[in-house]
Amino acid sequence: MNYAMRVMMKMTPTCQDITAKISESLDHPVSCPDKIRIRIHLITCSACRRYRDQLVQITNLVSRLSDETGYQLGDEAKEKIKSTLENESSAGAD
Amino acid sequence: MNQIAKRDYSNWVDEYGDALFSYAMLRVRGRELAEDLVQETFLAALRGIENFKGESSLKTWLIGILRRKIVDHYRRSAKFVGPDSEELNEELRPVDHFHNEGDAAGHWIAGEGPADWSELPGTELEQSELQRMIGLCIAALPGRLAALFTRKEVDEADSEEICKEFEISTSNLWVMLHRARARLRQCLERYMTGKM
Repeated sequence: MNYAMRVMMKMTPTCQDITAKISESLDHPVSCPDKIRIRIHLITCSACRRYRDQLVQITNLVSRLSDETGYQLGDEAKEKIKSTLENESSAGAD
Repeated sequence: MNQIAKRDYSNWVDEYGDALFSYAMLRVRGRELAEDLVQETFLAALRGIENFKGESSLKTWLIGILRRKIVDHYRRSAKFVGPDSEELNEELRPVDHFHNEGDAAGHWIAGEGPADWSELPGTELEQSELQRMIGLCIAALPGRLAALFTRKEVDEADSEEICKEFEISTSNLWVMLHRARARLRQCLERYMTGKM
């Protein structure tokens, strides 16, 4: 690889860099040069374009996610907690 | 002891136990730990019932207590996580497939990049089913990543607050959120492909 190409490779962000920057751009406004780097990369890289679209899709899904994910405390665990509370409350009453 | 609280607290477990447990299961790993945190939450609520002003619902108040218990758990465990720990190694394990060396270093390995989701069998899935899957995928994340990610994207807390709670730097937060998203993307893709 000649010098000019090595410099080019250094200047051009990799998909690995870009995926990290795409994620960051969801958390805070990225710098202007970064914004331009991402935009230029996405023009030529369909894999990273998909990556971006999918992260956005995930963010949308998650923001509507309810915390009621359907996990259930078993009866045993419930009884255990109740009796702990009972002990605590009678100790507190004395 | 507040008489109302005394009469009601055993109903708390029936009424709010599952909701609190679900909240914990998304954010910490292991039923036992989640159960312990729920129990600690109820205990703290019982002791501090006079702090409940009725400005929010009882459930919101309980969730707030649990949220702080979860943060405490990670702050405590952060002090014991060594550089070689299993948890840390799992958090750091790369999931995306990039070339490690050569001219293409850092670029997607052909055929191992993100799939076209519109061509996967899972694309027909309903929104509610996708949401159920994303819940399962979050529950499969390493605990700390799940806790940070849900704090950011489900609770929609701002970054500064999260960093303060978890005692991490903002750049650290961004890196961990990136890891969480990369894993969630891969996990969802596997579901959609029918590989899980």
